[in-house]
Amino acid sequence: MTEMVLETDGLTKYYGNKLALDHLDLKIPQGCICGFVGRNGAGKTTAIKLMLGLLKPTAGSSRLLGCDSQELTAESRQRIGYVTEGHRLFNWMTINELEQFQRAFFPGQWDDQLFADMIEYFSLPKNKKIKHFSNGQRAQVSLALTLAPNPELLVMDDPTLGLDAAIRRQFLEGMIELIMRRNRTVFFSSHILGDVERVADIIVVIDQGILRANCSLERFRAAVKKVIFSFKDSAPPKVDIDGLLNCKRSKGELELTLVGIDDEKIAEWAQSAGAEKYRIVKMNLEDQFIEFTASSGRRRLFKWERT
Amino acid sequence: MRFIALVKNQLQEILGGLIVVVIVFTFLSGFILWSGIRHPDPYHYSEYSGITPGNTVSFYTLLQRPKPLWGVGPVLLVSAVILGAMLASQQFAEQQKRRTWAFTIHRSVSRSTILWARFSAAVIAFILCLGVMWTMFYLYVSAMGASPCPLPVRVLIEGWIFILLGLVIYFGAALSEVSAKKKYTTKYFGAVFAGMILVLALVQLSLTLCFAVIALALVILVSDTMDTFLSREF
Repeated sequence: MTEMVLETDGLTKYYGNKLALDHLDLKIPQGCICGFVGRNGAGKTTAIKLMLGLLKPTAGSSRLLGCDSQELTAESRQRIGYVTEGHRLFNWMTINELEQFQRAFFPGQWDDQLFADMIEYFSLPKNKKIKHFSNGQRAQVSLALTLAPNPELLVMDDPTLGLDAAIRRQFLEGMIELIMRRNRTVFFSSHILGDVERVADIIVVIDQGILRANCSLERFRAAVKKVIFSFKDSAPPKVDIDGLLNCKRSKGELELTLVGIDDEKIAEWAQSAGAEKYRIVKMNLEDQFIEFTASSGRRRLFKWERT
Repeated sequence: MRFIALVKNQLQEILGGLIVVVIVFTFLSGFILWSGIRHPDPYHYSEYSGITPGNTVSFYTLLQRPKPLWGVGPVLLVSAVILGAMLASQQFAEQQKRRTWAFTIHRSVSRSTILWARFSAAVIAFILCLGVMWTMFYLYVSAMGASPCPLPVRVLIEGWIFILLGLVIYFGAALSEVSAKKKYTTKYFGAVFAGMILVLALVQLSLTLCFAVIALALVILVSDTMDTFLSREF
């Protein structure tokens, strides 16, 4: 049986009257890279902070490496790496000072060589104060500090936000390197779907605090599709098909975005609607995500189980 | 090891502010002492007891106001209050402003250890910045025999009370900064309470009462700050 390193059960958070997270149920197995995606204000940071015990849930619970998030001990935290949103570090410190400071919290666990390698790989000046670093350099320092103690679980809150493409790639490569070398688990939130597509094997989609999808990336990629139906005359006024996300009409054509429907059913519907022909258009992950989250309102449309 | 790392980190963080306070305090106090010793004013006791060179000296008054060291007293009190407010601001408000709490909190120590490390750093700062300086001034003036009569230990203790009052201000400001309450509600309860304690301690007639007031205030403020910090969301 696969061990779950991260579990949430009905995790809910209200800020005053505002619902930020609504009954989040997640199970993330060991050894995977999980991309946690959602629009701005979807509840990603709230969910991560709840998982790490930095916020208190209004209802529900979460467990990291088998420990309740609200009772994470010093020993548990030692096994969990956390890259904060915006890479907030102590501005007045140099890399050397930060390294010395961090090392004290991971006795027997801190990998000096790995840290030195990463700093060299990113070409970071060790004696310059963090306040003089660019966003990209802060991100790199943050990643090096988090990876050097070899955490079993790495939680990152939008780690590539504000970084240019080259630095993002370096950052992701560093992350993949860790996973491949040590079979660790990574849970990271992101706005950048290209990053998720490049590294994740599980995708979790959250929208307005509601879990919309939790499945393998391949399954999500296969599930959300755009189909263009052509009609001799005009398209039927009413579209009644399972898994409909969006519908656009143009003269003699109907463009549908569908989720979780197989090709046979599409063919059946095309026949019953009197379509002359149809074609399935390939979508990239970003388009799929936008279509998938643009349609929701507040309903839970589909609950995807991880496969 | 981890606690020491946290204390060291805190001392490093507040070092700049400490240096400024030490320099200003030493300069002002040194100037007051120097001018008091170089230009002794035989009439300066008159404002308290009507003492003139020809009159009998009231020993009690001299005990209460032995120049020139006593001139440093107000500087010490103001320095302690400023240091307290500055430390609380650096240790708590700056973290909030720069949003580094998550980075600070998520590490292999308990929250209470993080808070105690901050308190310890503050106490060390008070001792090093003001306590040592004040004691050195006392010893210097005593050794020089610059005072009209032997300096009583009470003068030294009164200076340390001022330093303790600075600590009260520190804990009050820390409680306010740690509080997640809205500004127009009870967020500044800690700071206001500390201000009231400052006034209350200064109007006490006996040192014992003064110590009692300060001790009570410290217990209340430390326990409340601890409770607020441990239950706070970051």
